[in-house]
Formats: sequence, C-alpha cells, structure tokens
Amino acid sequence: MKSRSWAILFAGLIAALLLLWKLLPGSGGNAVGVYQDGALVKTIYLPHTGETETFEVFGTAGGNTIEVSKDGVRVVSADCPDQVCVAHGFLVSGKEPIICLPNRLVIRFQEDARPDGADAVTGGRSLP
Amino acid sequence: MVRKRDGGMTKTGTIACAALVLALTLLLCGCVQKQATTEIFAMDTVMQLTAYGSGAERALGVAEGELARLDAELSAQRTSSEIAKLNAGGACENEEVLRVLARALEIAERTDGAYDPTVYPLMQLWGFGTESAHVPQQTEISDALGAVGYEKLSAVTSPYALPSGMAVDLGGIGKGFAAETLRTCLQEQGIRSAVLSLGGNVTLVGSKIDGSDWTVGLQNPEGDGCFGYVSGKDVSVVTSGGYQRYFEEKGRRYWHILDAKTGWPVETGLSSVTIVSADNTLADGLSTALFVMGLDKAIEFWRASDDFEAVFLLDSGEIYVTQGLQGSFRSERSFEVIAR
Amino acid sequence: MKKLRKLTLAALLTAAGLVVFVIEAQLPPLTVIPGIKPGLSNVFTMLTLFWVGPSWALGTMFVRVSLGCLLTGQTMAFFYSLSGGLLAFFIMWALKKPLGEEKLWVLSAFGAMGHNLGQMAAALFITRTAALLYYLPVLMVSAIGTGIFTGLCAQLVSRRARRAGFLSK
Repeated sequence: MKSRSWAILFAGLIAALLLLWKLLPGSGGNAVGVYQDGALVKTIYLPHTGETETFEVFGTAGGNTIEVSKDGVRVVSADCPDQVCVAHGFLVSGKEPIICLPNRLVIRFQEDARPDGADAVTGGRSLP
Repeated sequence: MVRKRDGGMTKTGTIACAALVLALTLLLCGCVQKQATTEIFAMDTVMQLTAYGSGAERALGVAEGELARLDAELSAQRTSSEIAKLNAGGACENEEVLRVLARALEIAERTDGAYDPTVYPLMQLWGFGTESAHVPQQTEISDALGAVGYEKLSAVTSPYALPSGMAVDLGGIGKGFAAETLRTCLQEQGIRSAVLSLGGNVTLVGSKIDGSDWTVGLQNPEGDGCFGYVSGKDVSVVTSGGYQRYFEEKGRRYWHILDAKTGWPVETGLSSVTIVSADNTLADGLSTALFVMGLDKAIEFWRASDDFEAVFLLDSGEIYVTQGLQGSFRSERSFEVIAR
Repeated sequence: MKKLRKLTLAALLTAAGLVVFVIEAQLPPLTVIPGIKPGLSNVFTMLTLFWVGPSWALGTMFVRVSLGCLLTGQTMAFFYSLSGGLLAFFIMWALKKPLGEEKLWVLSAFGAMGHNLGQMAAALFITRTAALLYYLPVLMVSAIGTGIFTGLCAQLVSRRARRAGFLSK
C-alpha cells in the first residue's frame, strides 16, 4: 500500500472515531457517584445547596480531595504527580468522567439512578 | 539464516498477538460487571431484581428459577397451580403452599378479618383486572358473602382442603412471601446487597455497597412521582392503595380492596397505606388490612403492635407517619407524626 | 552484528528512551483525558526493533517502563504503561515485516493505538468502570496523531543514521 493510501485510511479512521465520539450518549442527571476500584464510595446529589463541603478519598498514590459546592463537583487537590483530575475542573453533564488513574478513582454521573435518588418505588399501578 | 529466524519470529509474534488480544477482550467482558439487574413478569406484575457484588448475575439466575416455581404454586389464576387445585375442592400437601396459607390465616386473625384471604369469590364476582369488571347486583354479593370468611377455615394441617364452595387468593401476601424466599435465596449465594421490587412491593437486602441506607419512593396516587421517601436497610416497604387497580362505572371508581364483611370496596378516606417491616409477608398483608381499617382503627392497631411502622396518605392529601419512621421519612409536603 | 555491538546499541537506546520518558512525565498534562501524551520514548523502541531485533526491543521497553516508573515514583503508572507497551510491542513486531522501515510511520500509528488500547484495558481492569470507554475514540484519534509523529521522527533518525554509516559493519 502506498503512503497516500495509508494517509487516506488514517484520515478516514480519525473522522469515523470523532463521529463515534460525538454520537456516544452523554450522561447527566443529578446523581454523581464517586467510585474507587469500581466500587461506589459515595453518592452526591446535585445541585448542592448549602455550604461547600470537601471530603477526601485515599488510594495507592495518596488522597484526592473532592469538593462539592453549588457550582458542582471537582477534585481540588491530589497527591498524584500528574494532576490530571485537578486539571479536569468541574464535572459537567456529558461524556467525560473525572479520572485519577494513580488512585484508581472515577467520578461520574450515575446514569442508572432515578432523578429523585430513590432506589425503588413502592405501590405502582397494576398492569391493565 | 537470519531470514529464517526472522520469519519464525513473525509467526510466533502473530500467535502471541492474537493471544494477547483475546486475553484483553476476556478481561474487558469479565471485570467491569459488578451489578446485575433482571426484569421478570410473574404473579401478575413486573418484578425487578437488582443485585450488587461479585456473582450477582449468577445469583439472580437462581432467584429467577425460584420465582417461577413460586408463581406456579401460588397463582390462583393458573388452573394448574396448587392454589387452583385447592379452590377446586382438592386437597393440598405442598408444604410451602400450606405455610403461606397458615401465615395468611394468622394475619387475618390478627387483623380481625380486615385482611381476609377468602375474598376470592367476591374478587371473581367483581372481576378486577379483567375485561368483565363490573358492579354486581347486591343479591349476587350477598350470595358470595356466604362463602367468605377466614373464621370458617380450620387450622392448617397436611393434607388440607377448603370447606366446599370456598376459595382463597394468596395474592395479598404472595408477593411478600416470594420476596422473602428470594432474599434468602440471594443471601445463601453470598449476595449482601440487593433491591427486590416485586410490582411495587420493595425489599431491601442489606445496605448499599457503600454501607449507607437505600431510599424507597412512595408512589403518588395522583399522577407520576412520589409523595415521600423512606430510607432504610434490611427492611421491606409495601404500599396498598385503591389507585393500584380499579375500574370506573357511571362516573364512580371501584377499586380492588374489598371489605370482606360487606363485599364492597372499602372507602375510609385513605388513599394509600405503606407498611415498613422486616417481615415482608406481614407488611404485604397489613398494607391491605390497615387500608380496610381506616386511619383511626389502623393507628390503634399500630399502637398495639411493635413489628411494623406505617405511612398513611389520605384522600385529602394529608400524610401521617408513625413515630418509628421519624428521621427516615422525608417529603416535600408537611406531614404529621403519630406518637405511640 | 556482533552480540557485544547489539548489547551496546540496545543499552544506548534504552538510556536515551528513559531520559525522554522521564522528561515527558514531568510535563503538565496536555488534556484532561488521562493517557494522552506524545509517547516520544517509543521512537527508541522502534529503533531497537529495526536496528537490533525484536527481543532486544521488548527488553528495552520493559527496562524503560520499570526504571521510568521507579524514577518518577508512579507505581500505578507501571501497570498502565506496561500493558500499553506490551500490546504496542506485539503489534509493531507483527507489522515489522509486512510494512518495513519505509512505512515506519504507519507501523508507529498502529503501535500507538495498541499502546492506548492496552492502557485502557489496564485502566478498565483496575478501576472497573465501563464509563472509561467514553474516552476510547479520543484516545485512538490521539494515538494516530502522536503515532504518526513519533514514527516520522524514528524514520528520520534511522535514515540519517544509516546515511552517516552509524549502523555499518
């Protein structure tokens, strides 16, 4: 295959991937989960009213300090060297979860959660 | 020489590459799963089971089998079920079915017939949930009432048969009993965190995986959403209300909760009754019974008991909550706490 | 090529790769998505693959990742880098013959995609969060870009080195 064909192939691949990225369903809602090693550590309901709260989650590379305020959820400081999670800023509705790979921490919207935060509802109507 | 070596390596490389890709794919599939949900249609309703932790999927598979078995035993509508055989005048030796029946009679006795499993002939007469639902003639109701009344049944022994003409429907506590069986089934398989919603009969197994309480919404009878929320763990929450199954005739609404003494739908000003109890079968039976009793008698009944808490929603929109739920019940509306 | 010469060359390339790896780790993150970086140290893995041989390249990669993570103090990064590096290596090894040195930039792009895939797999395994897959398309796009860039760098270095007689004898 000629260089030119390869270039066209890569360009096509990039276009397809970007399209896929755009078409991916975004996440949102008002329940945000803080996960470590895939296990839910804490659930935060947005919008947060009242005073700004911070809490710390500890991992192998130290801790991440997570802030919950009326503006949303973000990582304010981390002990890891790369600081990717701090640079991420606030978690916004969309496709990007906040990730700290060194501490195996993920902060993302819980798509499966009900908007009111209930895990189940009693007394539904019977089927017709 | 060099060429030959190079060629050999490429072959090994291809194999190694394929093996690596395969291994990664397996890792991707196997490891992300930590929660499993299944939705089944059984006992005339939609059931949603969600389990957390490793082995959740397998455990739910076993639970589904249990549910199918119970459904086949307890459904009054299925002609092949143990209950249908009992209602047709046959004798029943199935230990599990007799256990449910014994519990039904126990709750009927405790509530003085406010919950009565023998209302089945009346239910059939009214035809709730079928195409032929209609308001029967008073003479028809009076006739049917002759075959209704839990006190006419003898104590449960094996084998057991009903007095002729009588029939039972364990639908009132069947879901509660099923929920308890499922909970035991899941716990035996090492599941410590699960939510079982059997058509709005909710059982919370353990706590959430982070150790915190679950939250259960209580259905708003008017329209969508919830009028309040109860939080807790290792507990069952069951709601009964006239809004759940009814039909309308000449502008009037007739619902499925009947007074076993009059044969007519009960009207006590209650819109729904929610029972919170560790015993799901009890919660299921009591939610119906307390709805039949009406607010004042229900409160009296609660004061004399210590194994459940309740939330009452009135037709007027007022909410009453028993003392034990103070702190775990929340609502955007105002509510009154009933003291012991 | 004599064994001693191979060893010397591989050691030299490992050292150079390690320096680039450590410098790159000090740079601030390019984006908020973990795993996006130029990956310039891969230039030296590719040069080792073509100049010395596959087994030497594998060794170079392993030593660089181990020492690199030790030097930068990122223990978790070791697993991400190693799984990425391994997958990238196997892909480049398999493509070495069919593509050849004049298509090094193509090989490099595929290698980079393999690297990011391997890294993603490790991250999924460790964090157990399927939501990370959202980043996969972006990671692949960045891999194609950075892969072509590092491939062209390696191609340039290799051509110059051969012309200068660095690899003769």
